[in-house]
Amino acid sequence: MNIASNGDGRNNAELATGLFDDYSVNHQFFDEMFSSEGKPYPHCELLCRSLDSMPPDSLLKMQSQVEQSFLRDGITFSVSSENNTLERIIPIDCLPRLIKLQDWNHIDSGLKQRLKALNLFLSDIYNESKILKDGIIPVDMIYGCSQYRPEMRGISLPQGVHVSICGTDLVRDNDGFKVLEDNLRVPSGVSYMLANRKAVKSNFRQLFRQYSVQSIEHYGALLRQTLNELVPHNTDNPCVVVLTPGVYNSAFYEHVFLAREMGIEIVQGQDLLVHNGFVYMRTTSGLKRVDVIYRRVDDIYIDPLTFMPDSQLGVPGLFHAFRLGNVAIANAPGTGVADDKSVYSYVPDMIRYYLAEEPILPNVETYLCRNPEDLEYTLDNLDKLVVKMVGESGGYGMLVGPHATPEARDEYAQQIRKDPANFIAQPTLDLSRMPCLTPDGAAPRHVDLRPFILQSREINIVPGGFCRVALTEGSLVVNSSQGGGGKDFWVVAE
Amino acid sequence: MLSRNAYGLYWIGRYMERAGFVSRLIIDQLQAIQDRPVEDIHVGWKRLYSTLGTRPISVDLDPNMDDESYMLADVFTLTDDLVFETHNPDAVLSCFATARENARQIRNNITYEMWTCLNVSYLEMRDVSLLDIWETQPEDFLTKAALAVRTFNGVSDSTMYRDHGWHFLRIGLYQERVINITSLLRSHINLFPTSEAHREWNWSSLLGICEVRSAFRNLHSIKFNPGHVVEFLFADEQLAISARSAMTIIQQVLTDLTADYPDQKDKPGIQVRNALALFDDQWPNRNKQDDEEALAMINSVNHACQLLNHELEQNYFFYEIEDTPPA
Repeated sequence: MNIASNGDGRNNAELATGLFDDYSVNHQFFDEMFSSEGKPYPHCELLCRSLDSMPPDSLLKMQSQVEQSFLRDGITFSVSSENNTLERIIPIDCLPRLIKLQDWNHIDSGLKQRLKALNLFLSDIYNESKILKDGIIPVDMIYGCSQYRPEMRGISLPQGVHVSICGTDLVRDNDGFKVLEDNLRVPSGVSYMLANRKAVKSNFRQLFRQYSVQSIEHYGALLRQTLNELVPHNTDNPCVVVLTPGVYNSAFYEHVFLAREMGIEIVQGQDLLVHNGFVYMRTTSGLKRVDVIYRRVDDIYIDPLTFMPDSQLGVPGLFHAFRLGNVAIANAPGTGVADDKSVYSYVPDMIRYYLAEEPILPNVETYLCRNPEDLEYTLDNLDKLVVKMVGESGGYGMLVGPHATPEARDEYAQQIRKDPANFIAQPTLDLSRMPCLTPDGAAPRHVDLRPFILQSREINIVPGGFCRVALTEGSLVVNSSQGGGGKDFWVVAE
Repeated sequence: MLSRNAYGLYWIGRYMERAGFVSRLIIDQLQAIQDRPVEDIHVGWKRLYSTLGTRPISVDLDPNMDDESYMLADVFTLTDDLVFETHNPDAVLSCFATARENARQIRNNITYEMWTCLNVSYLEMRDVSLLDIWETQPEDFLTKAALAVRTFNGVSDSTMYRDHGWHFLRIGLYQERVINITSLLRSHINLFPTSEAHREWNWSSLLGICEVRSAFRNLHSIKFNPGHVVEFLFADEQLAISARSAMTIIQQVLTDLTADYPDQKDKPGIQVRNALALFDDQWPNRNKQDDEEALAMINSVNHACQLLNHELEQNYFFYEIEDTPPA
């Protein structure tokens, strides 16, 4: 099967009939399914043939059924509006994204290398600060970072693990995979990875078997094992809990999902108390000691005595218990300093510094507006760049230069000039594309990938990730809060 | 089990039972509207609102109104308020919504089957309005809601692990049942004293709300003797829906809870034991011609169950931390 292939996206090659009739490859963007000649990659041929033989209507029906099953199962996220909170599903596109095992192994190595370095970095800056003393990273960038927690200074964690759960965003262009950002605080999306797998697997049973897709279903067990290994004292059966801000948090479904997958309790701040430096939860049979907290609450809310005094979500005295080593918190407070968008640009240097290795996965080229030369370049090229605020996430507070109006760019430039250190800029990424189901057949949409990396005694990754897709034609924004959806991601033997 | 989760399960039990009960109250009333004289319909509304302990909204329940006006002015509005009004916590949809919201918060403590059963029922009801069902058979909608409650109870029974969560779900369910049955009996006897001659329909309707007409007929033939009906619904040991049966189950569950943890305070158990003793000691020896005496005992059981809520909170859900926690 061939599909259209040219530089401007118009259809001018031999056409197949069926799902991919109007699909075309644009050379500017790497296509996850078709080569630049318009042929499916060898590992995608079986999928393409199979999809192409299915009536598009049946795929759309399947997609609708999957979305209904998400609603029925309560796989939703909350969106707050002025008057109320709505539950929405994250749209799923049923066509899976495939990657060769060989390519995955490359990613796997790169992600492990990266998390290892990031944990060494966090241990270092909260203790000896050698990397700062050696001038590898500017001191003011770390100590001036809003996510740096001086309260963490001098705390040595078991195995030196500050980040136990990491979600790293990867993008792919014609040069290969690159790291867009690391999410080291409370990365979300893993429940959708698993839900998408369950839904797509049940609809493509035969294909799934033929491909021998690598399993990801053991993520819950692996996460539980990771958290068990963080327990700061000897106990056979540690009490591990998920700490959630509550039902109004947009990721609440995921918090409950993970608690269920791990067979542990999900607690809110009001369920916990600290007594004599130990943490307890209130149960129907009295107080029960808690050993490990997988917190899905931001640093500043976890303990009103240490961080934000008016926090209603936290537990008074929790940080004290943590500092005494009587309870483990994953991820540890203060990890956000390492996923600050300015610090991100130094991760390759961290890898070289701590591991004496070259980074396996490159960063996206980044301009730090705190540097006068980068600032000047950014302001001169706003129409070509994506500019982000260093402390924001979820696609908020950013300017996509090529898509912004001149007025919006001018307004944003003023903000940058006021506080240059709060901004970084990156080239507009040529995010890879792949077929997505539309009422008119398959159409190309941009995708990224968030694999989840777990570290305690060792580093583990399930072979997969939450593949996010920008469902709007031409859009590069994949965030679920801004109209993005998800896809299942298959690691397959070639 | 985490206290907050046990509390959530307790309220799921209560709200689901309430949803079923309110549905059956309205079904009975809608059926009365089809063929009963306006006086009966009026008294039916009075019994319904007295049972729920609320007042009808913005409607003048004037029994002197002519039939057509009564139907147009009141029935639709009252039914809408009792079924779909989200600001009415006793409305059927509100009960489902609250039970589901509790379930959403504690999904790791209920089974997938329980969640699906509750969520699907709620989603199916959520997008319906009374206008959609009024022209056809509004009772069918409510019958479906009552069936959803029974299905949920069956699914819970067959899939849930018998831990503290299960116990508190059952306490909530049976506590709500006792409160509902005793409130209904109280309202009914106040409106239709057992000593006065009444048309059989009123007592048959009472049995219908409790879905025990055929069980009663099997036991007492087809004559709806008021004294027998009260005895049946309040004190029959073999009738699953009777106040006594429900109290017995609550007592058993509380015993199971304290057996696991002997140092747990037994206050809730004492309240229930005292109320249960009433069925053995005072109830059989009452003056059967004296409704006041019967009402006092019905009120006493109702009160014990109302208090149980507070006692459970003090002992299991929001207890004070008095002792040094375990090391």
